[in-house]
Amino acid sequence: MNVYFWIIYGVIIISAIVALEATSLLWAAIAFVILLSEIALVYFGIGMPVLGGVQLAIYAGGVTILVLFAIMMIGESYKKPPGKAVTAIVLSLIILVLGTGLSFLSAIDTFPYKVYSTQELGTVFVEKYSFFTIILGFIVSAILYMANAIITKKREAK
Amino acid sequence: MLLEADVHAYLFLSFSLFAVGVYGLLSRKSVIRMLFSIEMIINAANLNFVIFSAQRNLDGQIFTFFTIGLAALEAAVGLAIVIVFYKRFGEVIPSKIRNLRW
Repeated sequence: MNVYFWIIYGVIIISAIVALEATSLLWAAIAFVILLSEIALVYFGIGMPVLGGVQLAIYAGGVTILVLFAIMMIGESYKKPPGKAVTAIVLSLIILVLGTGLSFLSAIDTFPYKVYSTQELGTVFVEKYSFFTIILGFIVSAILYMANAIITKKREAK
Repeated sequence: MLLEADVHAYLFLSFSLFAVGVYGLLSRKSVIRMLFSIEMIINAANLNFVIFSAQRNLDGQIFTFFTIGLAALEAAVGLAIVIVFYKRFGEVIPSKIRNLRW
């Protein structure tokens, strides 16, 4: 039993719950940063430093700054809605129990973990996924074009 | 390796994060918190990719790079739509977003 893993597990789940339940959106954003940084710590801990760095830079850096700017611009305009909390809790518990139970019952092999070098990562990336990256670039461009069309669309007169 | 736990423990972490994300998506009505929930679900999927990649080959890790990029894009587009909606209507209520229909 790895104690560090269960400490990180506790921090991740508690910060996820605080991100959803905190009354102030600013505290929710701070809990969200902690959640994403801990997930980056998991990536570092299992020997994937490049992925951990990307997670820290893009998620804990970029996405969180975007969210903070959105909170600054729109404020907390909508508070305490009557949500379907009981249904949501029951459904999420069912997902947790079923998923964990099925993963224990399934025949997942527990191979030993490997540590790959950055050079191996780059080689596989270039050899197997360079064409896929080009296609993904076109998809991203199309998404950005559509987002621009949505944002700049003039409101139709009724 | 510092975090060398059993693969089932990592799957338990992933399912827990997924369950919290589903709870938030169903119970919260604030758009920003719904965005947080979607990011949690995506991160749970990323954890699955990463842990199986650590045992087998590098493909899962590379897919996680793509997923992180697309999730950041999705967050940017979602927040842009939220701000446009706020500028037009003065509040952000998800059930009223159908007013943005073409």
